[in-house]
Amino acid sequence: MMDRSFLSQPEVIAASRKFVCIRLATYESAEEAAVMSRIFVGRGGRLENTVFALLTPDGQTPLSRTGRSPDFAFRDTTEMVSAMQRIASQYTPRVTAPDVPVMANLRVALDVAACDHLPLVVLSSDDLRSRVASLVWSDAIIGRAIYAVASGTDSMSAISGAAGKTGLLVVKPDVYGLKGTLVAAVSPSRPDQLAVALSDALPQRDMAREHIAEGRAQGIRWHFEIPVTDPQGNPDGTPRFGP
Amino acid sequence: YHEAMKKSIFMVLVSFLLSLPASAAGGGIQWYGTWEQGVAAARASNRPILLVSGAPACRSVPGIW
Repeated sequence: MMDRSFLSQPEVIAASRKFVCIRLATYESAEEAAVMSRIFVGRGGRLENTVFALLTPDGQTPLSRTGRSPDFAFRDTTEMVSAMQRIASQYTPRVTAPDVPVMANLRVALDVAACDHLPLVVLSSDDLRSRVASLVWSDAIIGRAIYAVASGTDSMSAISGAAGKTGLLVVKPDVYGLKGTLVAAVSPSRPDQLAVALSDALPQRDMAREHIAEGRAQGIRWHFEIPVTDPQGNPDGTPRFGP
Repeated sequence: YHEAMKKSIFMVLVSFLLSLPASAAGGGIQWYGTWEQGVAAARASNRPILLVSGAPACRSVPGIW
């Protein structure tokens, strides 16, 4: 379960602005699994569902205790923020050309957007990235959406109303993140429309227990790209114990 | 006495509301979704990395961490 106690706190969010924040979808890439396994594995020596670490800019050296979540390393958010501020002060940041932080593919992006209860913004072509990157990182937009680039291998059929549309496609994911609905196709030259569209594309929330129970009752299952190695899970993603 | 109580309650309420943390500018944490893109950004900008991972499905049901 993704941490909701530390990472959603305003002071942690504020401190995160001096970091490059990377969130990987576990069990979706063998290459990334190897990276995560180098950083933290559970007692059984296997990659578990969640990983947490603060790292040097080259991604090689931990700057904090690593674990499954922030509370493995920090007692509370005050301690975490203090550590993040101390770490950030040790690095002199360089100004670089911004880029849109994108998910690996549209399928995972739609699911992650649903998990986060955020809109998904699909860039209809890769060359839009340089045109909208500054907007994405602006105070009005930062942290308000998940991003993906429509590629030749992605199918847009899961997003109703998106066929033939270009620009920044603002999508409202369904509850299970398997489908979405186009809310607006925003031109890169109209950044003011993006903020409005993001507000219109917020997916609904439901209670976790009901979400899981109803999903299982409907036979809705997520296909992981690589085997699940968490001790609480079977290779097909089903829990080892319980119904 | 009642007026004093009302005023006290009002002051406590105002103090509580003012003590609530203000939201960070913008929304939540802005995440890079791949290791490749994120570590490239970190190296180029010389900023440390906040790394987390999670399976975007619970008990194999998607749409929830």
